[in-house]
Amino acid sequence: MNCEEARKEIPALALGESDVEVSRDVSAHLAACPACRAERDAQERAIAAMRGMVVETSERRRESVLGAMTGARDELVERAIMRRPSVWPLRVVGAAAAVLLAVAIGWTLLQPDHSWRVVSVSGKAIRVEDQSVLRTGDVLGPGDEVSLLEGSAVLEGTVGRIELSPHTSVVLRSRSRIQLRGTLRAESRHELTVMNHLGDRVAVRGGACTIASDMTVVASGTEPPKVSGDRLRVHVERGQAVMRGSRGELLLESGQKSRLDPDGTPAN
Amino acid sequence: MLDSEADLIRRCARGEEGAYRELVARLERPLINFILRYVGDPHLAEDIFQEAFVRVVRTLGSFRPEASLATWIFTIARNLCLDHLKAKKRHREVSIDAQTSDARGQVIDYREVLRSVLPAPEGRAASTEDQRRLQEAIAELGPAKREALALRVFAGLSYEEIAKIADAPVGTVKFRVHEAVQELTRRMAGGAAAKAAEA
Repeated sequence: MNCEEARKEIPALALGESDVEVSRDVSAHLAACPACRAERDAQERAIAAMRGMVVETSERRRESVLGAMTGARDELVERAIMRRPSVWPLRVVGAAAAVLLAVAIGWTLLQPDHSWRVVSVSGKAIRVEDQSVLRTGDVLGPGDEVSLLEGSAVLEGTVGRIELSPHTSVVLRSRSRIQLRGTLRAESRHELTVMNHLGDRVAVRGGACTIASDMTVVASGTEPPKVSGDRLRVHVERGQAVMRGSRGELLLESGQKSRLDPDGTPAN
Repeated sequence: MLDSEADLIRRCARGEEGAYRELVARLERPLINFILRYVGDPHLAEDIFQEAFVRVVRTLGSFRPEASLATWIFTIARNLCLDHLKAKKRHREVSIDAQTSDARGQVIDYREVLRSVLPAPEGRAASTEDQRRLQEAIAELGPAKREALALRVFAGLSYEEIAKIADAPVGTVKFRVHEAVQELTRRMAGGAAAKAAEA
């Protein structure tokens, strides 16, 4: 086996995929060829490094996904039930619910994925991408950014609702994850996550919270930049919330308040 | 499809929370690792991971019993990744991400500034820097190679499963993975040489 042939087989060897015969032939070549041996070693190091980057499972992630799945299921059932005649006997309705769920699944396949709806708006709120003014009843999907310039706006989604304060922008990352700059009040039926652009987040669990992220950075010539405001500030009205920063997390119960220090540490 | 998978799907179709929990637990590790390495952004990866399972709930009616559960869900996730990557190319960056401007109109990046004003994280190991370089190198791979690598090395799927998800022959996906490993090794070697020259 020459170097060219060996080099073609080295990735499979480094990944542990070679069959016994090929592996024997390549290994014989590597024993005699320092350059190919160095290549094999480098590939094995790269693969080991990649395997070391594997992210582990997380109960928080699983709970968040479960909330979104049950929210989606409830939405399907709600849509199906709203279509049934109200005079049907209860036992027929009960027996038909499973069928309706299957029908609703098929019907929903035809619908675009609008995770959020504008419940009410007063003043001026815009969809940032096209600067269009939002009206009650408008629907929004993942990735949409909304900016409330003045007045108030309420958006309702699968897992809860958010009420925006003036001069607040949100990016609706998904059904249950929002990126915030400004202040909002969040009510959730399942877990709703509000995060800032640094990755700090508050997970609102079946309750209501007021959350703010208003950190600003001021750079002024030769002076060092100054950080003001809070990375995150949360007040739990009812239920529970978990605030996570880059240096720790804090579980908050009804009535409690907290914020994140500039270095990402939760402060009581 | 295995009987246990068929039973799990039936229970999911009935809306059982326990079945949802079991489904997520089965696939969490390989799926989040595939998505994360494919899109490169941890927040986006978490969003897509969640959306994939929501799509499962919404599209259970379209699941074909002859396909495996993992192949089906990974295909949903892959398509979501592709949609997001295409959308990211089309749309401008959202305005509340990362940047602001000072009184003179000079644009400053929050993350860069915070690194300069805040204490550095303790115990930043050399391996973290290597992993960062590796992630950058992975991001520079072509999408087909990156996808195949993520499915094979990070999600641990077989080449037969990857071939179904990527809708390509087994030989092709194997070639993509091997090429990706060679390319990453070259990039890492080039980066190490540059680092040694700086020292």
